[in-house]
Amino acid sequence: MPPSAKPAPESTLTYADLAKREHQLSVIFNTIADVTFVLSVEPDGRYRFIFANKAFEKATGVPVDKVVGREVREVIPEPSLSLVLTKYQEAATTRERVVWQEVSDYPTGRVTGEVSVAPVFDEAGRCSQLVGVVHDLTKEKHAEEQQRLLTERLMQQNSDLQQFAYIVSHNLRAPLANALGFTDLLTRLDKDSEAYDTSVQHLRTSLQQLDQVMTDVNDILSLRDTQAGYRPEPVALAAVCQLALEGLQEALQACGGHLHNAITEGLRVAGSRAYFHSIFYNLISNAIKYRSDARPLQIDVAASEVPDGSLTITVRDNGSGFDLEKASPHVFQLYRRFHSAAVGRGIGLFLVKAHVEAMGGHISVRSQVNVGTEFTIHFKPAADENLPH
Amino acid sequence: MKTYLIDDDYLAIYLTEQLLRAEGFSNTICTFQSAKKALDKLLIRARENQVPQVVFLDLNMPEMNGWQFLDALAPYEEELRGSCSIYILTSSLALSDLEKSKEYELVAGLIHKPLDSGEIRAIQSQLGDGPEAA
Repeated sequence: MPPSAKPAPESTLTYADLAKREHQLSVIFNTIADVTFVLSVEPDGRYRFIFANKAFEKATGVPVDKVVGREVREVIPEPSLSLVLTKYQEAATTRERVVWQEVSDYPTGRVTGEVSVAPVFDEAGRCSQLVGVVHDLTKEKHAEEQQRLLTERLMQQNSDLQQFAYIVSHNLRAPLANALGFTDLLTRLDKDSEAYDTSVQHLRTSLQQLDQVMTDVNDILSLRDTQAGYRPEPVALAAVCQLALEGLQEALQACGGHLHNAITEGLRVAGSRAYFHSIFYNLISNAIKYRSDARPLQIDVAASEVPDGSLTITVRDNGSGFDLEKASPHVFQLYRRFHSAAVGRGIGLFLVKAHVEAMGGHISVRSQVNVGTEFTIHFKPAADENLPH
Repeated sequence: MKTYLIDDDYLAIYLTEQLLRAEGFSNTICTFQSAKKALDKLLIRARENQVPQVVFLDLNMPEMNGWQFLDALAPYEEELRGSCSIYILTSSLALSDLEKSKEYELVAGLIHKPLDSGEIRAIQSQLGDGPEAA
């Protein structure tokens, strides 16, 4: 019997039926949100698009009619091209589905996708086509990253709080132990002696120190409270620095020091006026406190803004400096002091760091003994402001 | 009993010195608000074979803390052993400090501030030395 006479079941389908099925299939493919495409594997090992859905067009910005019929290497740019060709090759030779994650910069933005490519075989068992699907993971990745940042921040805060509790308990215990000791001593001293009067004085001082620690704790806790309601406002940096200086002018003049404020007059920065005031006040007052006796104090304050929106503020002095290597992990810790000669409770730099970080900035320090100290505060253009503080 | 008192807190120094005097513990008490200065002095005295018999050492101090002081003394452990007893005198109640203090052979004990007469007498008997005439 001639082959043409063989009644095949397909032959009962009319052209209209086929067109209807084709239409249905195309509706399904174009409704799928995942990028879907079919490649023909040509005998010379090249890959050519024979189908791409609407999602493909939406993600890449390349119209479907500009894709179908073109070779993969004409459509996909490097460095993605080398990767996908390797993966296609792998799917074709292993005859298995190949899945990988890929980050691509499409005109619509950066997309993280899970790409899966499955081989299709012809009657001879040759891999003739590849069906590819890209599942958009961008949202999941973003949520994952937010989660990671949040966890990191929580861990940091938890360790800060632990350290805070340890430090506070220690700093409460020190004046308390002194007060206890003096009450013990007083019972054994002659009331008319000089030592008795001095001990009463010292008892009083110990209790004042205790009270001071409680005040510090209150300040720090209220800082955490106000941080939650922090809303950035434009702050005129030069003016705030000048204002902070006014409160210290007397101390600065008394030591014969000089401050040069090189911040551009009109520079406005998004942040908190009160925080910037505290930052300048503490850094300048530290520079005065830890000045060198060997030379007149010179303080330089500067701020530079880069076109990308990032900002760097520096406060530099020529004071006594400190051994950065020894002090480095503790410089900004509460109740840490590095100068035995000068007075200081070790709370200033702790507050400075807290204020800088509350505004999404970062502070670092360089110092050299007998040369001076330089604090650098850096603000990135858009510090992860979407995260809760 | 020749005694060194090392503490950056002058109130604590005054207090401990008075308490020691009230107990007739020692009539030669040298006080230092800087561990570094105490270390320099102690090393000079060591060469003259005149180390203090007792050192009261605070832990939490700027520049050189109590642990750093002890570490700096480590090379002299041999010659100081038996002649110089170091008591850590701290306001810290942290157990970790007590554990750490046991790693130092020169440390004879850890005392929580404030020093009281009971502890002072315990040290006196530990060192086999009765109260001195002030």
